[in-house]
Amino acid sequence: MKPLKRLLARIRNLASHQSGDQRFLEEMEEHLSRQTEENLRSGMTPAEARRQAVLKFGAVEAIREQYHAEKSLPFIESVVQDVRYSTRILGKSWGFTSVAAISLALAIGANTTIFSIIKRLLLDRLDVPHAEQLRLLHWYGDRHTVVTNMWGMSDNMPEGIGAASFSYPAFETTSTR
Amino acid sequence: MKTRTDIQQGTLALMVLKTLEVLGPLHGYGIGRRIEHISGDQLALNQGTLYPLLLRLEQEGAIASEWGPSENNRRARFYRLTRTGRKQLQAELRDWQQTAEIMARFLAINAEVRP
Repeated sequence: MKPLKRLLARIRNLASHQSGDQRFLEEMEEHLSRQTEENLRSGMTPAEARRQAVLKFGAVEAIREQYHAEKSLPFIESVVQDVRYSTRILGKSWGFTSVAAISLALAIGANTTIFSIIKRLLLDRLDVPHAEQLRLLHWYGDRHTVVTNMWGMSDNMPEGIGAASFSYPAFETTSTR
Repeated sequence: MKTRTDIQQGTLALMVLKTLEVLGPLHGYGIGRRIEHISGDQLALNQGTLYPLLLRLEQEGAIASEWGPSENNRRARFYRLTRTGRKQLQAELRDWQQTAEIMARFLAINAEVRP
């Protein structure tokens, strides 16, 4: 509950741009002047009284930083700042920006094309009805098998021959079964 | 000369809440002075560190703050305990006392006393 409240408060401050530290500065000024008065009462010179008050307060910049980090969300703030800065810089140098944008576009385009080809050829199922019923047929014969000339690859093994392509009569016989 | 101790993480928040419970609405300077005073000036407290802590407690809902007139015609931010803060204070006091008791018991054991 507590962290949630804290987070909401910080988001509210971030959204309403109330991440400034006007309040802190005012409080600090008030604090220092009170401490200075106190020191004066205990008999210091005005300059010394102020100096001691500041010393006692601590490292102002560090505390201010801490205050600011507590008030808002420094991470988001710095991201926003970075984005703003980079758009400004990119807008300034058009040549660089366009070269970068074009090479990015080309690279992304090439990648997409290559991947879609590979996907069609290697990864997807063949685009036919009932692709799950497809089988790859292969035949083997011994040393005495006689084969006429045919297209496609054939495996010539010492103990015979085999191939994944069939003669037309063989195809006709298997397809009618 | 006695060395001043650094405040342990987390105990400062408890001191602030307790101070506000005892003294009612108070500004940052007052809280700092009170903590120094009660500790008998043995705490090395950079008073500025109170303000981020006060902001944090406020964002957690334990305290609330508003501008009020200060002496010498300026304005100061006054902090007061909320109901959530009161509950948080009770819970943290319980935790703290428990820890302190355990540590005390632990450190009181001598070589002869073996339970």
